[in-house]
Amino acid sequence: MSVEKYLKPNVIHQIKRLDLRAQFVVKGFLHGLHASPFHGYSVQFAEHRKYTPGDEPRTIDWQVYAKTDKYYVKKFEAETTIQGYLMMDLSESMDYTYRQDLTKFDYAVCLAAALSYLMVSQQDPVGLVTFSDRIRASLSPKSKRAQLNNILSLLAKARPTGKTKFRESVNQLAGMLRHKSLIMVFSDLLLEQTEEIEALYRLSHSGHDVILFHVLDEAEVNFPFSGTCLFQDLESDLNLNTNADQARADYLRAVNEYREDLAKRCRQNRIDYVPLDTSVQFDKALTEYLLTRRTRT
Amino acid sequence: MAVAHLFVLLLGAGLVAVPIVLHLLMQPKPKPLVFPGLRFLQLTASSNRRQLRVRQWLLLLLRCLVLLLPALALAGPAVAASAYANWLWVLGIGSLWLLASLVLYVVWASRQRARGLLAAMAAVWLLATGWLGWSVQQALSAGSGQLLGAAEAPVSALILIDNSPRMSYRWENRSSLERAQELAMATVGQLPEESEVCVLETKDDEPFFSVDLASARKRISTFEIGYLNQPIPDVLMRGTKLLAEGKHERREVYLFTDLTKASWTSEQSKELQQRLEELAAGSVFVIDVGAKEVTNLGISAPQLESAVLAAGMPLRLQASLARTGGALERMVELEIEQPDESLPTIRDGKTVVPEKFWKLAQSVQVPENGSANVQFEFSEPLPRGVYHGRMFVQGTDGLQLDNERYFTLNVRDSWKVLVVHPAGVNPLDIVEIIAPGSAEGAPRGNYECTTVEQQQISQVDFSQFGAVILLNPTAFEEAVWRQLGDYVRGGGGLCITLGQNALQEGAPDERFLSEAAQVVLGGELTFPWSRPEGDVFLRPDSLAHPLFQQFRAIESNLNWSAFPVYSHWGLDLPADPETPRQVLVSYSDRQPALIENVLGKGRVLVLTTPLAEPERRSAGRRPWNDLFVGRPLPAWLMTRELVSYLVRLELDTLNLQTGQTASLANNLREYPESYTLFTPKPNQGTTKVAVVGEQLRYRFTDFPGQYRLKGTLDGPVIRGFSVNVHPADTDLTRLAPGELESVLGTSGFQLASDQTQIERQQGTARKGQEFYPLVVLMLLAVFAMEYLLSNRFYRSPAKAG
Repeated sequence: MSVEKYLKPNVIHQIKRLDLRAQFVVKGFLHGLHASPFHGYSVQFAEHRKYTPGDEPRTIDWQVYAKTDKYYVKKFEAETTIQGYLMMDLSESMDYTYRQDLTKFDYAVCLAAALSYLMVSQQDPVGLVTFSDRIRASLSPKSKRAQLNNILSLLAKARPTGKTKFRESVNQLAGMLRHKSLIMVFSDLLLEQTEEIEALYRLSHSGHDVILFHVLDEAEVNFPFSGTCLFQDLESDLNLNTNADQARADYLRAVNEYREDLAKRCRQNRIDYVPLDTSVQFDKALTEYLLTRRTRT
Repeated sequence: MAVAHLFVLLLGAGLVAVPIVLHLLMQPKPKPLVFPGLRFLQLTASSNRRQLRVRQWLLLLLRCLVLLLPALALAGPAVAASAYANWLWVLGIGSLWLLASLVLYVVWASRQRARGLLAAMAAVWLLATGWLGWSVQQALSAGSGQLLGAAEAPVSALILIDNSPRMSYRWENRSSLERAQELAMATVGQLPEESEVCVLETKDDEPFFSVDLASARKRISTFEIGYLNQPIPDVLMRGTKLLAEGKHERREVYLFTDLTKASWTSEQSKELQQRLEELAAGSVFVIDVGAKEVTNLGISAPQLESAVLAAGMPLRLQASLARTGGALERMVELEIEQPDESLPTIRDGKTVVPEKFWKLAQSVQVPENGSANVQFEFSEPLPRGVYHGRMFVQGTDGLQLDNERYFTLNVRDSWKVLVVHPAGVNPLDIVEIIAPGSAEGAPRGNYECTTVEQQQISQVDFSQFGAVILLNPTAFEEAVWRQLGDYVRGGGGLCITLGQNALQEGAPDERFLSEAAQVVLGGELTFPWSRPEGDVFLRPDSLAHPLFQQFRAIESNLNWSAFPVYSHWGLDLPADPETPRQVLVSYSDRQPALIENVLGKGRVLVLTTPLAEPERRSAGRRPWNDLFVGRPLPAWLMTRELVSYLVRLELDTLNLQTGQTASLANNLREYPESYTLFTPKPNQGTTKVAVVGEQLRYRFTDFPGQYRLKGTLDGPVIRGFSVNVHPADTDLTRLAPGELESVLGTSGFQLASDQTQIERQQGTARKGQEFYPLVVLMLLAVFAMEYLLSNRFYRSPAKAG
């Protein structure tokens, strides 16, 4: 049985164990990788090894080549000074899926677990912040192996409730940061006011590295409804009686415009914007993102 | 607009309620769905809801139409053909209005609700609404004709057949009347069972509904040319009064006519149009049975110098020939019957009339579409008696009726007229006017004048004179006045022209004021009026009196003011119903000039200024008038007419037109009290005619020809008169384009000329112009739209994706 099979979200869902789920995800990722996706960010020289085709040419140590006439590449280790923060949206809208196995929250937790595992395995300190209308729980970054368990334990207990107050939550987080940090935000960004996202831009401008995982449900992306429906909001008392067939085109246009706008503004603010929906296997989505990021680096 | 099957339409309208009820009450409950992305839906929710509503209502409308239109088509909506264009127009504007409404609604419901566009569309919609309202109002006010529906529904029909003499015109071997009868019979055959029909001809008959259709057909078959006709519009007017009382709601009018102008002359077109519009709008059928190209030659009634001719005088007649068509030469003949005291009589049930004639003939060239005169002079002295004659054109043509004309002539002794004049008054000028040639001892004309001085009047036997004229008389003794009065009462005619001889010391002679004088004069002489300025003249108020018969033709040539009257007598006329008096002529100062005083059987004419005077000019004295100065046409003619009126020449009307009353003076001393009348009407037999008040009158002159009177008084007495067709009755001039419309209204009738056209128009009028094809087309369009829209609106998400 191949490893990929266990990376299927439905398999993971069956296992119901987040740490294992994260291991599957990350090991699957590492299996195909030869270098850290955060390479060059903040790392320390570890050793030399013989050059093999596929290695980055810039990692070749030309001084060793001058002495030995053989190619050796430098091997680095990440510094422990980079802190990672997983910022998990716990608003009620995250607890939604229409016809997928994972809710948006579940999906985001899978991602967060995988990334935690990745960072812990690289001995990078990683912390967790959950928020809805305020920061509801936080774990300070640590690189110990037990940190992964702490994170997963906290996420497993968390239940999405209440409204989102994105700006206040981000500002609170910003107040907590002492060093340049890697902030990984998991949210559906269904905000009352789109301007709230600007808090994230300010975080980026403060020197933090921000990755925004925009998680939407497959139904929110494709709008598969039909006929006359009474749509009810999760975070408010709003409801809307409309013909889904009639509204589909307009809805999709609005959603795409919103995502494109977010992508554009994130790009402008040096934020990595990762649009996701729950129909896409999160391991593949994550792998794809990490590869892209590594290439960019 | 009407529908044949209202029930079906109501059923359809009821079915329309089904989708509406389904739409309003049976709307599906929405599926409740939790959806965090609501905010993206809300952005366009209101416009989506509006669009959804547009679609729903549009579909509802189409589905209602899908149910309603078949019902409408099956219900058989129709309007009168005349109103069809109006309703088509309404339909077109209604479609535009619907389109404008839809566009307005769509603009209102659209996401980008452009206010400018919305305002513009609202303005267009308001305009279309106003236009539609106006059109509907116009269509309704124009009337949709009478009730339409099933073609088999019985009708109240009026069938009017023109049977004027013009309809006897023959073309293609049949007369116009025969064609009219044939078509009318066929038309009656086309009428639905239980219909009621009034069949009318163009004479003064009371209209009535026939018992049944068979009776109507029978009545039509009995129609023949009539000579006492009324214009079609007048008869139609009477017919429509009856039609209004018809028991069926649908009414139809059929007019069978040759469309000649004389048939359609009427004063009451407006009223007729209104009545037809109310009664039978769209169902008035004018069936043209006349010839489109007419050729004819007609001769007018002969003109005689006088129908009463003095024995020995030559007979002169003239007539005119009128041609419609190419130039032509024809023989015109004159026949005068030779009197036979034994005839007419009835032998073997047939009227036998004299068969011996004096004949004259001449050839006449008549130009193309022109006229020519023909004159005959019969110089052979005719013995005393009544003569019938005829003038006719040889050969035949389409209208035979006007090829022959009749006349009657009375040859008798001349009337004796006594002219009484005082000494010093010359009567010869007056005598020469009355009986020209008297001075030479050979008077011509109808009168023979005898003059006598006033002194000898008491020795005169007035009874041998037809008329007595007193020229400027001096006073008579009482006995003479009584004698004159008795003469007039016995039927004599007396004319008194008063002048200065009635004057005595500036006032009327006492003897003119006596009771006997006043009885004759009709009033009391007051005093002489003096008008030395010459500004007074004779001025007849009206020329209607028989005395002015000859004046009427030359009225415009009579310059009365050129003949001033300087003096005249005033006459005080008491109001006495027993002795009627009438002022026939007044002076321009409103004083009476010529007064008629009826006494017993006779009459007295009093002229208050003299016709003859003593020679006053030479003595340097002003004359009483200048009536005979210059070219005295009025006075000359008046003198002759005075005499003619006194001898009652005008009473003998021997040559008449159809419908006129024949009137013959019948002095019982000379003529019998009753006659046997032989009319020219075939198989009519004879009629007894009695004389009333020494006047023989006969008014049933409804057939052209010679009417012969036969009586007995010391032997057979033969009299008679002739009746000719009125000239208009043979005038075949057809109506000019537009003239028929001016009588019946521009859209009030349908024109046909044969049975096929009648049936087609009859069918259209009964069923109206149907909307069935149009409704079916609309239904197809609605079906297609409903299919397209419902497929587009409710396609499955998979397809939509």
